Amino acid sequence: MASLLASLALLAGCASSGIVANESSAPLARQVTQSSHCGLTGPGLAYVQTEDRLQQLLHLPAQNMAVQQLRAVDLEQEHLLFVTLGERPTGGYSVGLVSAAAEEAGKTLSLSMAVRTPAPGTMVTQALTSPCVVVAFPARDWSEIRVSGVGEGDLRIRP
Amino acid sequence: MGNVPLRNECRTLGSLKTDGGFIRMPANSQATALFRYSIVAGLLAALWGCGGSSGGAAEPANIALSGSIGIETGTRVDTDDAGTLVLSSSPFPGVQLLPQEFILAGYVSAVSGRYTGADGLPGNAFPEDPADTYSMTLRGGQGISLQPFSASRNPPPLTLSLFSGDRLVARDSTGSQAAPVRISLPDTEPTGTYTLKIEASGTEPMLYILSTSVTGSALAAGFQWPDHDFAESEAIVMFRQQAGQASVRSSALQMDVEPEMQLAPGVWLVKAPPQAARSSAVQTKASTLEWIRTLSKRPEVVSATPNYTMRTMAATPVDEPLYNNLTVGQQWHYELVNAPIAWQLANGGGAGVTVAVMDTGLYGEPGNWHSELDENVVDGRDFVSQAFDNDGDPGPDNNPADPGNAVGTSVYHGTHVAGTVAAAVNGVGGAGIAYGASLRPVRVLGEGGTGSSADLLAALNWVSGRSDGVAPHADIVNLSLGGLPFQQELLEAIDYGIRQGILYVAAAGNSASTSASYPAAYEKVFSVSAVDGAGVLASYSNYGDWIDLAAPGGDASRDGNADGRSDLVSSTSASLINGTLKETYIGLQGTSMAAPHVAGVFALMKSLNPGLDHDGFYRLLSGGDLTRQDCDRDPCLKTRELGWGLIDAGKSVLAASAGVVPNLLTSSPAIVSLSSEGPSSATVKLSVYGRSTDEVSIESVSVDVPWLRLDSVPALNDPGTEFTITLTLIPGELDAGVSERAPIVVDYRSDESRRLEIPVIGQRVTDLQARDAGRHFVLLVDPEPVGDLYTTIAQTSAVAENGRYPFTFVPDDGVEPKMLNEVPPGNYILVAGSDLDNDGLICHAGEACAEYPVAGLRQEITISPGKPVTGIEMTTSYARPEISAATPGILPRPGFRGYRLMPEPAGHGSGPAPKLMGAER
Repeated sequence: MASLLASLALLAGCASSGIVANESSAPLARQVTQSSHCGLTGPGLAYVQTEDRLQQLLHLPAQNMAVQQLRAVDLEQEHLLFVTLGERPTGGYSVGLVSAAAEEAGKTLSLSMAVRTPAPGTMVTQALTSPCVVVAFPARDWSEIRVSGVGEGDLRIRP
Repeated sequence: MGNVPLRNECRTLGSLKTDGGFIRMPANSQATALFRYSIVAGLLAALWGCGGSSGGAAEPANIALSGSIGIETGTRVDTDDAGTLVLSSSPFPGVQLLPQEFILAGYVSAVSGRYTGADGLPGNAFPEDPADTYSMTLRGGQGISLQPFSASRNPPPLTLSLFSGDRLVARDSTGSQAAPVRISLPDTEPTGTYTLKIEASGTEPMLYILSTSVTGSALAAGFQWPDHDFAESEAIVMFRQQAGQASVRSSALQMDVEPEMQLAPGVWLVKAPPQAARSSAVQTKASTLEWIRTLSKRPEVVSATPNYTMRTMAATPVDEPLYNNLTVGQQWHYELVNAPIAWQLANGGGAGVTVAVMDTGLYGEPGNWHSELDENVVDGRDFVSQAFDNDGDPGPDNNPADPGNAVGTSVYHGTHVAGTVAAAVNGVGGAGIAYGASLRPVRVLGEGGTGSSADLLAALNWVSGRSDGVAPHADIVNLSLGGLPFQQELLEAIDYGIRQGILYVAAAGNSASTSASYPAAYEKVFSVSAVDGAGVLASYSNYGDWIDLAAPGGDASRDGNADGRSDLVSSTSASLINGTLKETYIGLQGTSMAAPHVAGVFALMKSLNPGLDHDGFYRLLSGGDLTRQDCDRDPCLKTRELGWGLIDAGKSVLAASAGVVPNLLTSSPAIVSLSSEGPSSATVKLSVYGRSTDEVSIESVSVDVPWLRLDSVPALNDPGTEFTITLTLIPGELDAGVSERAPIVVDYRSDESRRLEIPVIGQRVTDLQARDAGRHFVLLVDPEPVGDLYTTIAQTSAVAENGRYPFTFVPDDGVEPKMLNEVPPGNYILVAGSDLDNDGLICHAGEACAEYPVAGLRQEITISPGKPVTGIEMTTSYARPEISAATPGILPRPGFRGYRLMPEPAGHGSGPAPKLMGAER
């Protein structure tokens, strides 16, 4: 129970900060939205730099997301990354952005995530969920996006 | 040993190809490299017929893998795509004919050139084809959509022009962002033959998909309900899939309609502008229809239908649009549990019974709950303690409102569950199983759908009256929650409630395991596992000795009932739309969705027989009276998957009925679907539900549409309990491609004159022979990608024959050279598609693609020596699963570029065979 509460507090912190800054305090990445029903059933990353790509990630079965917040992102200015936990058996799971940093001369974007998991013995809803978070960052020519905190190793994607 | 000569003969003929002797060089020799491989494969495919068998039916010993690929209805392909053009001297100069409804992929390019190949080397050639011209019959208002595709970031615009003879009727351009455009034939133009021209510009080749609205959307269909009453000034509108919620709002503004409620993604109940509603009654009916006709012609609308209402009898959930509207109809889960017959028998919908939903609370606030629930909600409680609470008023209180999640969006789990139990029948949205029962919301789950057993204990003790020493606050408790270990205190609380006559129904859990999940696993709690649309245990559902019965929980990865949609359970919820929370219906899956079906059926039963307690229910259940099993015929069976079986609401309500129930006729199947491509005739069995001693006699059976023929009907006025009707579709009486719906009307007498209407859906599909998605390359690829591409191990190709692409791979005989369609033993992914732009890749946007078994959900196929795999079936389509939303099993494929076609094996001759062998056109 304690771990659940601790992670709750952590996530509440992220949610209120919204924008995560790098060392120079310039906004580097921001959490656009998160949902427990993204409809994406495989764990992993999906990079979005066009309207078409975004369209493909919306209108999925069992999806309930703040769609208009995603559509409001100007993809000329910012790109999106869907970080998904994949299908989970119950409620009580979520993933949120903790911090972002540019590495390797600004070519690599490193995103750190916090995952919330119901502690054993917690009472939870019995509907399948597909938690994800959508992060926006400058539409730069990133050579790699690296995501930590989601699984055992880092997830990487080359846009 | 006849196989050996055949093999040799084909080898010999195959080597002829390399001589180039009988092969014509194409005008554009740059294309040769690409097409050599297809010829090898094509020749071999053709030659397998040379051994005396026909149609490519090679003897099994010489088959490694064979099957055929179906083509979706209305699919057509541009005659002069790049793949064809590189082998012909010039683009097709004529006009290509198209049917009235179609989806076509094509290729245009203002110039010729080459793609950039691997390592910066020149790639395949793309030929010049500045324009494509089509001819078709159009009617006023009918629209044509053009979706361009390009690998380039700044693709050149395509121009779409519509001509009547030489006169320009409409024109639009796709611009530089590859945005789709749509032009419509103005209403002022007569129905007739029109010419459509697509012109390329710039320096890059372009693919495009051209479609009419009906074929362009799998969900769209012009279903009619002749002579059926409808709500005035209301319509159910399905907006184009790509229209987001924000654009639905702006579309609605432009259309001067008021969106009332979202029934499904993109589907809204809308109201007419006030001036239409102010007319007199007769005018209002007529003007509503006229208004709906206008709506249906709008470009942003896929379909607009009246909001039909019931003519006779008290309305039940069957009369709600979410159940009965064919473009929306999503409540398959009610038919699966035979609920419609239960609603006839328990026509109060469970009135007088109270169901406590212990969950996340309800969307809304006291006195103003979700409008589908509000009518049935009675006072509830909030037991969520401070640690889990997020409602702004930490700790238990009297307000069971669900505030949604503090972090991220919410699906309002408790609202969804409550809707399945007892959403009201009100002509809007859908309704619950026990649509007349009272709902008592008891909030025990807080942030993220989590909570504690202490809060649950307090809630259970309050509902049973144990904590206050009062009468119970509910007859039935639904627990769509789990994950708790065994706790003696919870067991005692539940046992106390059972002694008070309360029934407890709980979700078995979604771990796909046998491990007991509490509270479902307590002995006297009815534990419910989940099934999909086919009544098969859902892939996620728990199972084990402790399961009592099963109900629909949905399964997004399956379409068990073959209705073209993934099997989700639709119910009430709320979603952020344009930044504001609005009431919606959404689809979810889980044993959480299964349990409330059972709670609802139990409420219907309790309304007829209030004295039934847990022991009474269990006796009926274990006697096979509540589920789909026939214990009169076979011994009652309890399985680890479904317990005593899938709940049957009709049987259950009948079992609970204390008095004499009039005999009612019910039909199996409940809805008949006939098509010129599928079953064109059907047998409908009528059987009797009820306990009256009077037998039922049929007084008349009729249909009043020309496209349906009754082949046999029961003897009239001859009492009995089982009857049979056989019927046949007469496709010639139907318009091609358009679904019609009409009822078989059965008038019968039991306790009084009654009527049963059995809906029949008929469709004439005429384009089977004409379907063509272009030459298909069929590949077996290594399941492990190398970089961003899969390695193709074997390849063959096929042209469409009668709407299908037959294909065959042969075992690798180890003899060099290895033919392209020879496959060594191993595991593979089977894919197929067209290469309309001749870039050497199949399956990218704008090209047809098939994957085994279903696009988007690839499964490996094992090829073993001496074990031919035959009869493989796939379907090819221009639509991708991400867009059609039918296959959510995997993530979309960022960076996926398609599957690479195999280059010609080294050492082969330079001459290609004509690709057109096999009759391309």
